[in-house]
Amino acid sequence: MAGVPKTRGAIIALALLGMGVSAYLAYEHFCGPIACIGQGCALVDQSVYCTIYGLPISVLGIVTYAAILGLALASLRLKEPLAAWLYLGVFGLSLSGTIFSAYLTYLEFAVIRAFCTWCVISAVTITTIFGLAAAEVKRTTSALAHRA
Amino acid sequence: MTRKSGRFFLNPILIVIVAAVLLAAALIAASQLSARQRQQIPIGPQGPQPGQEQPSTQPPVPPQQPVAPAMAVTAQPTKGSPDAPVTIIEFAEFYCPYCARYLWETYPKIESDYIAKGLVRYQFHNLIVHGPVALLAAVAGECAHEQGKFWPLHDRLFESTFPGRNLSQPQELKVADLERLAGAVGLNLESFNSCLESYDTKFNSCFSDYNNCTAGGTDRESCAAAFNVCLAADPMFQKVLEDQEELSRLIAQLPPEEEAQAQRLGTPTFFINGHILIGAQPYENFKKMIDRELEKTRR
Repeated sequence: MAGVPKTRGAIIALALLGMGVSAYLAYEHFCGPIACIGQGCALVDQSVYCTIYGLPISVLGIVTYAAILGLALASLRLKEPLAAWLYLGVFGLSLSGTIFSAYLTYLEFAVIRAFCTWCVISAVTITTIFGLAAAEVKRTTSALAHRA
Repeated sequence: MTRKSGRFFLNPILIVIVAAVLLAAALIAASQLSARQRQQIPIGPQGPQPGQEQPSTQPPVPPQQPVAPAMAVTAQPTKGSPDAPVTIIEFAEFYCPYCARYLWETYPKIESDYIAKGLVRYQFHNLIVHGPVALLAAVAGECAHEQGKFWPLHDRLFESTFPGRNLSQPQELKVADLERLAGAVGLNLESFNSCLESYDTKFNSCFSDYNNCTAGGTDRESCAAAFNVCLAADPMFQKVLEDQEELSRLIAQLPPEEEAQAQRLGTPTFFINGHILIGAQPYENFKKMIDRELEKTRR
């Protein structure tokens, strides 16, 4: 079990990094370069990909990383099997995050056409969190299985 | 027991995977739908001009012209040395908040780092996205340029359309407001007022024809085309039209790998030695492109 806290420690550190990076990059990259298009720009403010129905992607990023951070911290403190269930949450959220991050990376290169170092850092961060969580999810499952 | 439980506990992982994939798919779909919806919102920053009952009846002004034969783009408002190795051509509009943001945040660095050092020649063109209200301001700029005083009015216009530099609340400037600004920057008011007012009179008369045309049952496109022909008799509107033709010409000359960008044209748009850059992008992006062009000239 010694490896588990180490992995979770890494996930916690990465989630903290991700919170900072996602907030910065979503604001700077998706809300930064902008233009007025067609008949208006008061509403087509910033890139149309900056928000999802009014929710800024920056907020989405912060919330996701914060949730991962919270779940990972709680899973360290709480006892099994609750800890294992929370860890499944980390696994699921990081998987969603990785997929969505891949989509954002696609937008950057194919639609917005702007290279962004911070975006790549965030994409790598969430993918690494997912990799770590995935590596441990089997062990978590077997812990649950043993308990059952 | 462990085997059975193991299988049983595989299920939560699968469920989490499926749920995570669905969540991501929902987010992507929401992002796409939201982006599409936002692209479709037609909104001007202000109410209709005098004589316009409904903003929805605004004719499309000005039209996107087909690629024009090489035309003499003479005497555009220009800054910097004529011998500068790099030319930046800006297409902007006085009601575009991002043009204002660019002007206040990014342009000063371009001016001090490149224009003042004779490395960049800078040219302004109009690109109208907010209809007649923005067109009137553009014409005011042309009238000021007639007196060789485009830039002072240009700066003052942005400060006035976004008072207090508040980009979320553009203020509509009427003919009288524009004349007051012209006075404040020291233009010859007699010729400026006559220039602006003759355009305004022409606009109102053409617009009245347009309304009669649509009321008479003729299709809107034909009425709009007639409107543009009518207004093209005004020399200042003609100049704004020429800016649109220049834009078409520059787009037609883009390198193939940059052509796709021109499909998402907006204001501000820049051509840096013929390479396109769209939006109020950070100074670093301008610097990168300018330096690349300067590097080419050194070779």
